[in-house]
Amino acid sequence: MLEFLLSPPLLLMLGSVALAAAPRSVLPRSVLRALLLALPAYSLWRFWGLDLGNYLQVDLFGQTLTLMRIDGLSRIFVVIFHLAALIGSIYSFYVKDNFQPLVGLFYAGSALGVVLAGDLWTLFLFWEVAAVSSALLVWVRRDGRALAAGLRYLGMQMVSGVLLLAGIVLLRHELGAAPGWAEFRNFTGLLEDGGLGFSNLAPTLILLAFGLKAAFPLLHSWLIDAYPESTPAGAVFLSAFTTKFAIYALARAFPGQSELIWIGGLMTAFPIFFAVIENDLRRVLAYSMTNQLGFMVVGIGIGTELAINGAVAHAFADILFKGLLFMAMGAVLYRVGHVNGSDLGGLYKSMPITTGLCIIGAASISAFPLFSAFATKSLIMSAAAHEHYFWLWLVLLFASAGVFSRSSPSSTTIPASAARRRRGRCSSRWSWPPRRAWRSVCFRLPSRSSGSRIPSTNCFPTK
Amino acid sequence: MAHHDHRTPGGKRYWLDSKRNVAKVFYALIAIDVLWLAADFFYKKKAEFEALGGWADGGIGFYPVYGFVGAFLLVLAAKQMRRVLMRPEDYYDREERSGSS
Repeated sequence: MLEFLLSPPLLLMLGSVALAAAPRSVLPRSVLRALLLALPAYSLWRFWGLDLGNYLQVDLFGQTLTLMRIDGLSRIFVVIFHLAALIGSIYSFYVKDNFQPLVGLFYAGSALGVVLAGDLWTLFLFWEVAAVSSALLVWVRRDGRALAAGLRYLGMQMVSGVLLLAGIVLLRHELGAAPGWAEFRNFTGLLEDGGLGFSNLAPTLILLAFGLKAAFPLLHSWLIDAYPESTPAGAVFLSAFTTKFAIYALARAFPGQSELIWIGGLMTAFPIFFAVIENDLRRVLAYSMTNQLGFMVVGIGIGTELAINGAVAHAFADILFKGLLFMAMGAVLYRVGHVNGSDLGGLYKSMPITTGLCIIGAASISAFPLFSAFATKSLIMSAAAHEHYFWLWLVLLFASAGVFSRSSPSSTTIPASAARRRRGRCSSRWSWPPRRAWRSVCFRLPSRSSGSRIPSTNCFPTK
Repeated sequence: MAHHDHRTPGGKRYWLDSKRNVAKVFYALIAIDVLWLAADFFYKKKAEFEALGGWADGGIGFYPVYGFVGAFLLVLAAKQMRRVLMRPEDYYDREERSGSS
């Protein structure tokens, strides 16, 4: 029993629930904060001592569920998820309300459950828990916009869950027994016809379920829509987990699936154009996140050892530098009240440390030599070159170079314009469900004041 | 880069407030570019692609040329895309109005 409770997913999930339930008189804030750090640190330390293999198997309704299956692929994700949970907890100390880090830890626990799942049912279970707990992280901002965005977000995440469930049920029907997650390696090969499509519905549905969370083109708009509506700390947690465990799931189940190469190539290229137009810098970060996920999807699609290693390494690095960039933008949001690029000039003067850190993040995401993504993107690019995908290689190279032009929000910290007057957030009336909101579910378009660099202030009536 | 030679309310002048320093940063970046281009002459690359006569990943100066052209086209394309894609900043906040898009 104790072994169950102390497994990384349950330790973080139950631990955060227990901390949330404990009355303030028993648990002063300083102790709570210490525990918020101790939980993931202890969990990581315990995990570090475990060997590869299956742990915590239970029989339930005639199924054997494997709550923990450690192999090389899951181990690296478990380690980085623990680090992300630690970093997010520390970052969220700026808020008095401890709800955010507690939800963040719970969400981290569910993400760990996904990457440690040893069978499809366990995967599905944690997949859904992660969807709900991450929606809470959008809602922690507690205003009308966040509430509406969170609902749209939750809707899309549920679609992913339903697709996954349908895929698992179909697969079980076709194979007679649900295949263990372990046999999942290139699992389209399990079925007679290895391709995707209606003739092979089960893996296609599962691919779509994973793809929705990995922000495939046209399935990506929840990311652009919801993440920037969260709080500074909430966005740091959000940026780390959902999309990355989707990448893990793709790497586990669909390595070498050739469709992923072109899907990923598209993912790297199109957000750059949108990011150039977008003005909300956290939304720009969300676009650049789609771009980085594209690199990982390409790596998984190529499927050679070099490519998969590159994809996973890039996921590892991306959690760190994207977290850093969201932290920097969160600091700007906290301090200035908005993150509109056209209104933020000369910020380096009042926030020099944030500027420095932001430049480090921007250099990393742009694969500047001596920074993390330089190594990890090179792995993926070399794999593409080695397999002679010339056009893909050109697209990746363009995407890699283009990300610096605007996706790196350091452009804000260079003195671009005189500091302009502060603007508050647009009025946030609770209006659900407006048709316009659904438009943003289908295809969120970049929004920016038209033409001039000085933004119009339409959201307030002009005098 | 800075076009405004402005002071903060406190009156403190920062290093980048001076146009001369901004120019220094600009030329330093160009110098780094030239150094990296020069580095191309001193090591041999293994070309994987036969396209472009092996210039793509095996030749000299492909990366700066491609990067420049790519960024240039990106800006031009994004400028045109604005007409179609860009929405006012309050687009998603507005109450539904009949017939507006």
